[in-house]
Amino acid sequence: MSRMLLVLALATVALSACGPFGEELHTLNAKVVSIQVLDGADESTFQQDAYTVGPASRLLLRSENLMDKTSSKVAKSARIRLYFPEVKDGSQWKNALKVCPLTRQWMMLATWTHAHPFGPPGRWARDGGDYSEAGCMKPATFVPRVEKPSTNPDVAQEVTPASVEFDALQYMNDFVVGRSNDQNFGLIVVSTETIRVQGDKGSFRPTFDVDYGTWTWNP
Amino acid sequence: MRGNYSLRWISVFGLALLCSQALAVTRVGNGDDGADLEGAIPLTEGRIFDARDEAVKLVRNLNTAGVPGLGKLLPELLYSPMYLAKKDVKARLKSDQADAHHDAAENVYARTFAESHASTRFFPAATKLDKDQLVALHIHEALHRALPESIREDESKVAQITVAITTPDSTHDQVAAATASVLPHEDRVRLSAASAVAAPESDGALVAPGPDRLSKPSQLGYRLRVFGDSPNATFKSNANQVHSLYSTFHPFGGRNSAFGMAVETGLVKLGSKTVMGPLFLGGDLRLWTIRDFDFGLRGGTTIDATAANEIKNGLLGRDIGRLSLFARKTSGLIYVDNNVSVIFPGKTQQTLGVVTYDYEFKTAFAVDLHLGASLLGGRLRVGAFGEYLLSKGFTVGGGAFPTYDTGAYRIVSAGPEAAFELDDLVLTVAGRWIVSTSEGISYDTMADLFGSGAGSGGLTGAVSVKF
Repeated sequence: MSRMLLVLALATVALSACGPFGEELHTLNAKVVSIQVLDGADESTFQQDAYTVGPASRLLLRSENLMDKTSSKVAKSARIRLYFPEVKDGSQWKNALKVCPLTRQWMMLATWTHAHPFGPPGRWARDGGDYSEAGCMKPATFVPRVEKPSTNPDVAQEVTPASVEFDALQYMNDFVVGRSNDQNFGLIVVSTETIRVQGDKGSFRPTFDVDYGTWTWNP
Repeated sequence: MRGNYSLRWISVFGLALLCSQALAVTRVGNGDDGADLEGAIPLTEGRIFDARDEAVKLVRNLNTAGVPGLGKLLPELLYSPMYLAKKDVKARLKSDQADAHHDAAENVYARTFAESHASTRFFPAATKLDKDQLVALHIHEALHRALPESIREDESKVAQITVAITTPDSTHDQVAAATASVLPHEDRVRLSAASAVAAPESDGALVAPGPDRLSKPSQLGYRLRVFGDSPNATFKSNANQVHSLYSTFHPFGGRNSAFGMAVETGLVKLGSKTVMGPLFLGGDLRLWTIRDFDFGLRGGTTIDATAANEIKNGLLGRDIGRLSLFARKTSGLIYVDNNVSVIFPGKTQQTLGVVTYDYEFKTAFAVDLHLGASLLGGRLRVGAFGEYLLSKGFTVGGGAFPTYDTGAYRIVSAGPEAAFELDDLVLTVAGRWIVSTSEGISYDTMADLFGSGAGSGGLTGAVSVKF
């Protein structure tokens, strides 16, 4: 009996210390599409510090190889986080902002009217992007801006911008897990008000944080 | 060169005609003592040499090969060796007496023997003649060798035909009528029965038409392409102008063939930015001539290695290889030019943010036809062209975007074209507009700036120098 307990204890320690899954942070690449910008290759539409999202512009987000990393895993929780560089608290937008799963393939040459520019099949069925309204996620948690004195003498303050989290577990189960990368359509940020969102160039870029399976990482 | 002959020279030949009518029939023959051959040097360059090309062009445009009695005129013009004597000689022979053969000081311009393939001997007095006069002189001397034996030594008849050919705005019918009026009946019947053929005889060798092109086939020039917007196209390259310098050198080959190399490069205006464009390297080879058609191959590749990053990072960055087979003919007042081209597959990449997309272009084919009028002795060409391009399309994929195949598409275009030659200066202008295309497609999809261009087509103008 004692021998069996010893084996079980060792196995628990070994498995707990060596869990291959656990939490993964997927960085999201961003592409803004707007009514004003007709050229999909316009450099102001990607790799920017911040983007404007509003009635005439939307933000496409995608982790390019997400499906390769998730296809055989079970998600325990999933969160999408966006940062706001210019406000102290984003809760003012809780009714205006949503993140929705796209239902159409697109590329970095996408525009307000086209998912890709190579012929009629590239046109969005609906201007601004094709997404599933039923799969849209509303803000779950708002975290206000945090400013604290910096330990670096060259920097006055360390600032963590205000942010919002979206519960993306349903999105993971319905649109990600079990699919191939060909169906990795990504997400779209839609807002009825004009909002500045932190871009994919810099420290506080949009993220997709997923906690997988029953294994947890115990360093 | 038609339409620009010195009135004085025409009147000289006309006067020669009248004088020779008054004189007894003058026979040109082997009556000189050969002294004029002492110290003569072969003519391979210079004004007298170049005037022969103009004479050939004039004779070709009039299609004298189709005139009974003049079938040998063109080969005699083309193949007669030419010599330039070192000293002038006085008009002593009976053949020299006509005014067409000497100047006011009675220095002889040229002599020949009235037999096929004889050489033409020019004297220093001929160097004072202007281009039109030299052209007429070449034709006159060639007629002495080319006409039937019954009349080729008859100075008055030879002068009459010379005037008919060199008169401004002369036509084939006028030349034929003038020749028929001096040709004896029995010769007229015999030569008509033999049926004049378009291709002049020349020891079996094929004569390359368009000697004006072959005598100075090389060119150096500047070209401007301005592209029109294609509002219905789903993909736009933003290329709206190309300024380029081009050269075509033909250092190889003979007078009847030419192998040349072409180079073109320049600046491309993309939106509001002007950037370095790609480099085109190519060549053309005139293969052979049959029934007055020029056949040849033209090919080349556009390389984006020298281009700016704005060109390289995208569809315009593709290296393009192209091979064309051309057939062209100028007959009288009409020119026709056909080209069949294949554009070879190629690849390029485009990086947007952190995602790199791979493009793979498939084969494309193009057929174009040019048709127009050749006026002013071939110096002015005005016409139109049409092109049918069929491409198998390309594939694009990268990141999470799976490989997408555009499928085959077509582009049909047409437009006017004109070219004007002033001595060695050549001005060309052409327009191209899309007539019909697969949905959402424009020339931006072909990404061939130095070929079919961009957008919906546009205007092209060029100025070059021939040498």
